[in-house]
This record gives sequence, structure tokens and C-alpha cells, in this order.
Amino acid sequence: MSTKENDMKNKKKVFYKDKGFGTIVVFILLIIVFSVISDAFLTVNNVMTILLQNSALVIMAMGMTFVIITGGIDLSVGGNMALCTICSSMLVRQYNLPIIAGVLICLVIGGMVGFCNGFCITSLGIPPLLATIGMDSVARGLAYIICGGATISNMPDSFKILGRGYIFGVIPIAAVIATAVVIIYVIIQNHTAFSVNTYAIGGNEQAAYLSGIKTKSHLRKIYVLMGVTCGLAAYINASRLGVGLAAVGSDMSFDAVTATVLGGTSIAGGSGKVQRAVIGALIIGVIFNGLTILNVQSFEQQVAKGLILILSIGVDTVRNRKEI
Amino acid sequence: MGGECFLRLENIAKSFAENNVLKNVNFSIVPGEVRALLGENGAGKSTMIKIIAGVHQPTGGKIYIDGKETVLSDPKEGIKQGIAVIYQELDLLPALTVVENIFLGIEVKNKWGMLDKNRMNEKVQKYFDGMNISMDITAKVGELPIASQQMVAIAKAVEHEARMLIMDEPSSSLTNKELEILYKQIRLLKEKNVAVIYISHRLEEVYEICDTVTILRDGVLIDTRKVSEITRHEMVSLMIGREISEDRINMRKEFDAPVILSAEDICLHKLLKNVSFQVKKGEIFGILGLVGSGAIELGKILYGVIPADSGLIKVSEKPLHMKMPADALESAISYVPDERRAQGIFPLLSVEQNSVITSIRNYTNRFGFLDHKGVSVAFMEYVDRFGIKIASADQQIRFLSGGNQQKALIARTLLSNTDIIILSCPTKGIDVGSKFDIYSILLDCAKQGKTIIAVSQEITELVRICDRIMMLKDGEVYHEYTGDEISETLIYHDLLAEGRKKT
Ligand SMILES: Nc1ncnc2c1ncn2[C@@H]1O[C@H](COP(=O)(O)OP(=O)(O)OP(=O)(O)O)[C@@H](O)[C@H]1O
Ligand SMILES: [Mg+2]
Repeated sequence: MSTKENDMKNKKKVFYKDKGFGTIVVFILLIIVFSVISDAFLTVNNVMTILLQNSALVIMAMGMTFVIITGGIDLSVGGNMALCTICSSMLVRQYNLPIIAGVLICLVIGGMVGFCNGFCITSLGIPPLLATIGMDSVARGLAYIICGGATISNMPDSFKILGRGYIFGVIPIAAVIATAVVIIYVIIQNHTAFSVNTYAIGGNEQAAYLSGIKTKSHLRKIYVLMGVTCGLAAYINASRLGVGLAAVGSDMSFDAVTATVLGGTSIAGGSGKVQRAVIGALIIGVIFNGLTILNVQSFEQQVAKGLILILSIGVDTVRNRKEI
Repeated sequence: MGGECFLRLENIAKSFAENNVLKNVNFSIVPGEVRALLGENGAGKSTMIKIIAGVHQPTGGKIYIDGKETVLSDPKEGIKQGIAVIYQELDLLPALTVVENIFLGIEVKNKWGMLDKNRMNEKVQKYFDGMNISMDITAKVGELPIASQQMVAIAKAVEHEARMLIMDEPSSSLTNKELEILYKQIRLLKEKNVAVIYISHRLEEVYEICDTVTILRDGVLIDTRKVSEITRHEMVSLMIGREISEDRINMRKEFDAPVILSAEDICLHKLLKNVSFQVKKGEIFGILGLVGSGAIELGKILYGVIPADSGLIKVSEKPLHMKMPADALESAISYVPDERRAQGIFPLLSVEQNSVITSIRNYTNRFGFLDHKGVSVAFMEYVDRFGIKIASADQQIRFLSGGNQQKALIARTLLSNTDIIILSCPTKGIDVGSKFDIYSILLDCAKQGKTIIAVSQEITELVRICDRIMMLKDGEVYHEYTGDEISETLIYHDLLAEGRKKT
């Protein structure tokens, strides 16, 4: 059939107009620039460090992409991470629990926080932005209350394996886990009805409802999934730090949203791709790693971060406007 | 007529990627002329007017305004030249009020530079009063029914003192009364020497209001004629290049089968009063009613979109308790919504995804993975049956012409393969040829034992396909027409008649 041929032509013709393309160019340019400026940048060691440092963010960006595709947002992931971290690390230390139990605790707590988000958004009708900001404060507050503000240290060695271990002595376990999560998400995205329904809700919620999608229960699932991914990210992060801290993830909501939007997912909902959020997350990672190597202070890094978010959302908005 | 052209297009061409949508179009219009623009779905009508409005840039050819070559680089430029457009997909701002929309860009200010709301309100109120339209001018446009939004769009063009007004299917969601108002507005504009381009799929409107008619087919301008010198039959064959019958196509005189769906004493808050009816398996049942008659709402109740205040719906003798459309689908009822853009399409998804969204569960294996091939085969079958014009299955649906979007929505409903199919204003924006195809497909479905409930305000449409037509007036059943009673003249007469029950 001739439509097949058209397909091919269309794809070839417009690949450079593809939303993800600009991001990839930026990513490659950054790598080139930093490797020219500093010899320390493009070394096996440093690349692995970047991957390790950003595994939690990559995982987080997966869940965030789905949330943003529905037209929502989750700004509670920072607080959620703190709560997961504290609960898990305290229980693990107290009862000397194995790795799998520590991870499960995080997943369950994260999922529960996600469920509360979903409940507030769908059943109470609170806008996602406000519901999750509120939840962020609640979760972090709970984390501080539970640990009494103390650092949970003296963790058993097993707790640190996922975050600090290496396969063959070079590849961080955390990066392998993150890769697996990305693959799972890509498969869900490309091959399930769940994903099509997610895009549909973000594109036109009323039409989705009329097409027989149970929009409310679907949205709840999306936030629970976000919470669960957040739990996993929390465990990996805590394991890398080797201690449980109620202050973790204060920038996480910000970073995850930035990574997602950098990857071309429109904040208006209805479009986006998880694999591109990976590039988004790595761009953030590369910039900080590069700036740190170049001895740029963290205050300046803060400014850079804000500018990146504004820029990427700005580009997204302009692009949306053009397409009308 | 005669005299200087207001607008002239010379050899205008337009292509989107590989897709040549307009080919060497030569077109001109003089002030005070009302021109009909006809053509099949996807012929390029909307594209042509978007070029005139400055939304799209032509890939070839020149535009002359008042005899001077003009480049319309964006819509703002078009507005500056006095070209106002009412798009097929209305482009009002839903969160602004009626008045704010009308005066957008030409706000009236007082001497302090602040908005003079009173003056603006007054002007708008006077305009609507003069037209005999009741309108809440401080309401948000998004909360108004589509027909009122249409009226607002026209008012906006008038207030902007356009020299040319282009209307892309303005009538597709209007009732007869509103249509009269529309005609009145057009005649007024004509008197003011405004040029009008009028796009519609309803040919009777062309005879009513237009002076001349231009016909496009596959992006080629076929002919321009005086309306008084062309027959309806000629118009249709120029448009679609084949002959079709516009008579009744359902040949069944009588129809009998067991009842599949029954509704008892459905009431809805002022809109519906004790409506009861029964639909038989394999029947094509029409629900006829103008806006405000409750017909559209009744369709929504049957699909679980809105709950009835009281009453009972039974399918195959079993009472239904629907909380949402998903429940209706589980009881094998599907639905085509009446407002394509707001309730129907997912603009960012592909045509294919749009078409299979309701039936997508049927194409997953037991691990929940999609059978992409199965989806594509099922989808392509409907592309062929309906002649949906697409560049590829991956094309985003928002790039399809309006009529082709509607076809995809009907395909969506048929793909979900339910026993009962409810269609609300099913052929809104669909050309004469495709209408015939869709009716034939519905008839086929009925023959295979599927039950069709068509909600519409178009008598012609229902008369062509229905076994039985129930007319609603002011929320009550006026009469049920069967057999020889199904005649356009009789029903039209009744629709306008006074009284609550047919005597
Ligand atoms: N922005 C776009 N990108 C790609 N293709 C487009 C775009 N706009 C329109 N088309 C294509 O151009 C063709 C003509 O579309 P157009 O909307 O002009 O048809 P139309 O005559 O208005 O039809 P209808 O009666 O259904 O409204 C269609 O095949 C459509 O798919
Ligand atoms: Mg059109």
C-alpha cells in the first residue's frame, strides 16, 4: 500500500524537526565543549560518576514524564523521597533487613504518597500543582518527625550495595538499575493501552472520558506509579550516600521537571517521550559535573539551573504557539 | 456586481511536505458578492481560506488585494487588510467573556486609557438585540453552546468592520432559527459591500444566500458559476465526480424484532419530561429534536455521560446503572459525540490511535501488550471503507480536514464493535458523497444485527436512514413516525407546528 511509502518519506523528512532533536544536539555540544576545556571530563571514571550521580534523577524523570503527559505535575517527589529514605533506613538499621526489604519499604511508602496525591487531585479536585506542593511539605515534615531531625548513620554494609557497588569494577549498579527502569518505561510507553490512554487524557480529558477511559482511576494509577518510581530513586540515593537524611531531594522536584521538559515533553500535556527525558536528565548531570570540574561555585550552578528550566519551558511554549 | 475585485488569487499552490493540497488556484471576488465554496472533505477549502487569511503561506502563486500584490505573512496582516475569518474550528478564547472576545484587539478605552466596559457592553447588547438573539454577554464563551459561540464569532467580525468575511462551515451546528439569523447577518454585510465566502456542505444554503459558487476538487478549482445557473445535481457531480442518490436509502418499509433497549420515564431537570421509548434489535432509530428539545441530552443519558434525574434504562431486559461512559461500553453501547473538537478528537495523537482508542483493549494480549499489526489492519479497513484522506496512519489527527476527522470518530465507534451504536449529529461537516457512504455503512451494520440510534436535528438525514423516528419537542415525545409517515414534508410540518402532542 502506498501509505507505507509515505510513512517512510514523512519520517525521513522531518526527523530534524522532531522535538527531541534539539535536545540531543545540545547534549552533544555540551560534551564536546567540556571535553575541550578539561581533560578530566571525558574519562571513563568521570563518565561513570556522572551516570551514578544521576541514576536517581533518570528514574524519577520516567515517572515524571508520564505525569506531565497527562497534563499534571508532581512537585512532591522531594518530600516523598525524604519520607521513603527515613522510613527505609530506620527500619533497615533497626532490624538489619536485607536489600530487597529496604527497597520494598521505599516502593510501598512512595506508592502511598503517590496515592494520596492521586486522591487529592481526582477525588477532591485540587489542581496537581497545589496538591503535590502540599504533599511535599507533609511528607518532608513527617520524615523529620520520624527521625527527630537526626541523621540515620551506621547503616549495614548491604544497604550501600545498590548505590555504591560496581559491576566488573566499572559500571555502577545504580546505572544498570536506572537503565532497566528506562527500558521498562519505554516498553510500557510504546506497547501498552495504558500508555495510549495516558496520552489521550493529557490531550483531551473530556474526549478521553467519552471514549470510555476511566480517567480518574487512570490518573490515580499514574500518580501511584510516580510515587513508586520515586521510592526506588530514594533508595538508590540513600544507598549511595550511605546514610538516611531527612534533607535529601530538596532539588529533586525541580530537577525531575526540568529533565522532563528538556526532553521535549510539553508542560501542556498530551505529548512527550520517556527516552528523551533521559537525555534531559543527563544534560543536567553533565552541566553540573562539568561546572564542578571547572571549579564553578554551587551558587552559580544554582543560577545556571534556573536558567535552563526557564529556557527549556520558553522554547516549549514558543514551539506550541507556532504550531497553532 | 462587476467592478474591481477585492481579492484575487493567481495560480495559488500549497503543499504540506509531499502532500499537494492546492494546485494552481485562480480565484477572485468583488465587494458585496456572496460566494459559496464547495468541495468534498479534504478538497482544500479550509486550506485555501487559511491562505487568504495569512495563516498559511502559499508555496506558489500571488495574492492581490484591491489590485495590489500583497503578501499576507501572518493572520495579523490579514486582519489589517480587512479580512475576517470564522474558522471551522472556532478560535474564540473560551476563558474570556462574550464582550471581551468581540472587542479583542479593538478594545474601547476611556480617556484614562482604561477599558470602557460600559460602552462595550452597550454596543454588544445593542447588536444582539438588533439581531433578536438572546445572549448572556458577560458569560465566558467556553460555557456557551456551540451555536451561540458561532453567533459571537460573527458579531466579532462585524464589529471589526471587515471588508471580507470568510465563514468555514458556520451552519454545521446551527438550528433553523439561528440559520435565519445568520442569513440576516450576511445580507446586512452584503448591503455594506462586504465580500463573503461561505463554505458549507448543505447545498440548499447555497441557493438561499449565495450569488456565485466555486467548486474545488482535490485541490483543483473546477469551476465558478452563478448560483442561478446551476442545478443541485450539477453541483454534486462537479464536486465529487460521480453520481449519487439523495433519496431514502433504507428500503425497509416495516421492521420488527425483539426489543433490545428500552427507556422508561426518563426525566432530566426541565430538559426531559417522562420520555419513554423502545428500540428493537437491528433497528435504525432516529431521535429528532432541535437544540433545547433535549435530544442531545437524551443521547448523553443513554451513554452514561450525564445521569438522568429519574427513569430506567434497560438493555435486553436488564436495568443499567451507568456511572460513566466506561460502564456503557461494558454494556455494549458506544457513542459518537456531537462536538468533535471538545469531546471527540485527541489532537496530538495519530489518526490511528484516535480511531482505536475505545477498542484498544481488544488489541492487547494477555500481558497487556498492544498488537500493533492488528490495530493497523483494523484501522486501514475503515480508512478504505470511509475513504478517510490521510497522508499516513501516524499523521496527527489535527492535520486532517474537519470532515475526515469526523469520519475517524465514526470509525472509532464502529471499531468498538458494540451491539448498540449511538450517534449524535453523526454527519456534521461531512460532504454529500461521504454522507452516502456513511449511511450505507450504518445500514450494513443494522443488517448485521447492530442497533443504531441516531440523534440529529437534520430531518433529511433521519428520513434517509431510519426505520422509526421519534420527535422530541420541549423535552417531551411529540410523535413516533414509522412506515409511510417517514416523509420529509410531513415531519418538517410537524416540527414547526404548535402543540405538545401530535393529534
Ligand atoms: N497543517 C497541515 N499539515 C498537513 N496536512 C494538512 C494540513 N492542513 C490540511 N492538510 C491536508 O490538506 C488537505 C485539505 O484539507 P482542508 O482542511 O483544506 O480540507 P477541506 O476542504 O476544508 O475539507 P472539510 O470539508 O473536511 O473541512 C487534507 O488532506 C489535509 O489532510
Ligand atoms: Mg474544512
